[in-house]
Amino acid sequence: MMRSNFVKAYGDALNDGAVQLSFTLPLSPGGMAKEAARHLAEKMGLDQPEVVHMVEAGTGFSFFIVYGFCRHQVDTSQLQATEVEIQEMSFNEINQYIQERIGRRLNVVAACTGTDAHTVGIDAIMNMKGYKGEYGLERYSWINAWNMGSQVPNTRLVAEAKKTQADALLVSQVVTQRDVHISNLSQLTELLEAEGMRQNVLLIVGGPRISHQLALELGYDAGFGPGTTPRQVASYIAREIYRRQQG
Amino acid sequence: MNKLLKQAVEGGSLAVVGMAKNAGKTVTINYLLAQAAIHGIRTGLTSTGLDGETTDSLYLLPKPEITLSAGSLLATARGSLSQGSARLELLRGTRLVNPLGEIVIARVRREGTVEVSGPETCSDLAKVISLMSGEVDLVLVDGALDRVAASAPSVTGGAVLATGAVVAGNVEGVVRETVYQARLLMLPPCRSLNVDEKNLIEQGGIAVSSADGLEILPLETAVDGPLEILDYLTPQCKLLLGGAFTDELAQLLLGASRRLGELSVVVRDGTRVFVGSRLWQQLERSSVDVLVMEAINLMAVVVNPVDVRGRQLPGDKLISILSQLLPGVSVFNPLATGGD
Ligand code: B12
Repeated sequence: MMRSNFVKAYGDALNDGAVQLSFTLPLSPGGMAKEAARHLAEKMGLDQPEVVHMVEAGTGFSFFIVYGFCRHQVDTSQLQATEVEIQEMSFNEINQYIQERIGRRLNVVAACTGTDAHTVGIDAIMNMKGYKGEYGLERYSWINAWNMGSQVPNTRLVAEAKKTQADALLVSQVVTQRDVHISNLSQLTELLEAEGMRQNVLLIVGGPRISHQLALELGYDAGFGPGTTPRQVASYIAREIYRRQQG
Repeated sequence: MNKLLKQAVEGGSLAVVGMAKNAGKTVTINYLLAQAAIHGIRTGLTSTGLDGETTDSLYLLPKPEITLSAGSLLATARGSLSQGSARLELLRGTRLVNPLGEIVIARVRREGTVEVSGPETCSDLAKVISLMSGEVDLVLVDGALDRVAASAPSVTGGAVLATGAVVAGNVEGVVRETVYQARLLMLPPCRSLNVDEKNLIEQGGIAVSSADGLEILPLETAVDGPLEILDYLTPQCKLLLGGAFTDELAQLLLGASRRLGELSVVVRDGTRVFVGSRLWQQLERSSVDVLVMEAINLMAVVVNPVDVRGRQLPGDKLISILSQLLPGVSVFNPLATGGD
């Protein structure tokens, strides 16, 4: 059993529980709106809520920032880390790793699927010119990268994966309204099963609201969230494919 | 012993799959485990991938926990072993892994709660089930989200479909979606398949079978509805499909059927059909017949009339309408009744 390690929110002093909250109400700014915001924060369980900022956000709406104190604490010894474990390598190390250990170019197919039209995230990972000063997967000499763009139906992605004998599929989902991403992502898992391909590809999903845990529940091998860099993804793919090859 | 449990034991393994997250899969697993314990049936438990954590990664709501009685087997990732209150004895590894580690098989020494995170892929799941089935009477598989692949006959001996108020806002919606999904799972078998045809489907091939014999199509997949398929179709033919039957292909066949009249599609089992409900209705009215090589034994539909936010639909009404529309399938609410 691990030793308990309780933490509370930090504001001015350790364990004071101070938090800042922001939200919008469908009320014009004024005394009543401010009181409504304070009450709402109190109902959320914040002690001594204080509205420190109120500004009109379109006619009939107000945006608030509220300070308050949160009583709750969490015991980190009881939590499971839910991030992909990656031993990051540099651009050159990754190419060399693939060349020496796997001995052939890895085929990686990427798409932003379903009705989702956001391309910037998947481009950040794939594009030659890269992201945050790192080259994207297209630049790696030991990776054959295909970026199918956005609004790609799962069926087309699966057909492309078959055609290219993909080692890894990279799926991006940015829009999560009404959980559209859930049914779309689980449909891909099921399609790959139906096509008898699931055990032959590394299935990876990413996006600003994607967690590793959610990815696992959806039947994916890994999930990458906001701020992911191409190197993290390439390191993961190379190491995982090598590990699977070793059996 | 109730009929469902008896049927389940005959099948050897049972997948509990859902129409959506929070449809009541875990509640159903607990119900089946409790029934099995009463009747002295030895059970083993695993899941498709990660599930059974105390909170759910979509809504951060507490999830029902799974309790296993002493003597039961559990196949889960090594990392999950220490997460519940049950005392477990590690029996052996399987050399199969999921992202939480190696899947291991353990025996419950003292009753308690467990976390189940089983194999990710159906091929691994089938192996894990066979590793347990020698030592138990029934292996239960807890499905994940709205994934139904674990109910394929190549994986499990039977299936239970969990549905409920989470699926739609009203009784009509829940009934429509549930009946559609259940009918896909229960697609009838094609009785006239010969050994070559069965092998082809099992190996994922695509072919057209007609009076002239079997013609294998030079296609790697038909998932995106390739137009070339049209060149091979003849009146009264059977399209044998080793992979998925999708909207794109359904559109193509609907068009072709207007020209050719009757034709049939044979897929491996109901989990391979991905035709949306609207298009499916058109297919049902057309001269295209959809059949399977291996029929899924859908034993029950379980209904949870309450959704995650506590909104309630009339459970009795849901159950009676579904029973009428799905003859031969027992429909019940595991929290309300004993089932029959
Ligand atoms: C630019 C943008 C658009 C552009 C997109 C242009 C384009 N070509 O991509 C346009 C104007 C078209 C657009 C449209 C819409 N948008 Co918009 N959009 C944005 C915006 C401002 C920035 C997104 C972005 O580019 N981020 C930068 C990239 C680099 O970050 P990222 O996507 O998170 O990607 C990183 C990681 O997540 C990860 N990653 C992402 N994908 C993958 C995949 C893999 C495999 C891996 C490993 C990693 C990975 O790596 C990336 C790099 O670190 C956001 C708001 C915001 N500030 O975030 C809204 C936002 C995403 N949009 C939103 C919405 C609702 C829409 C619309 C529905 C609006 C509407 N009502 O019409 C439409 C949707 C259209 C559609 N069918 O999808 C919402 C989404 C809300 C939600 N959670 O569902 C947001 C959050 C705005 C908001 N606050 O409401 N949008």
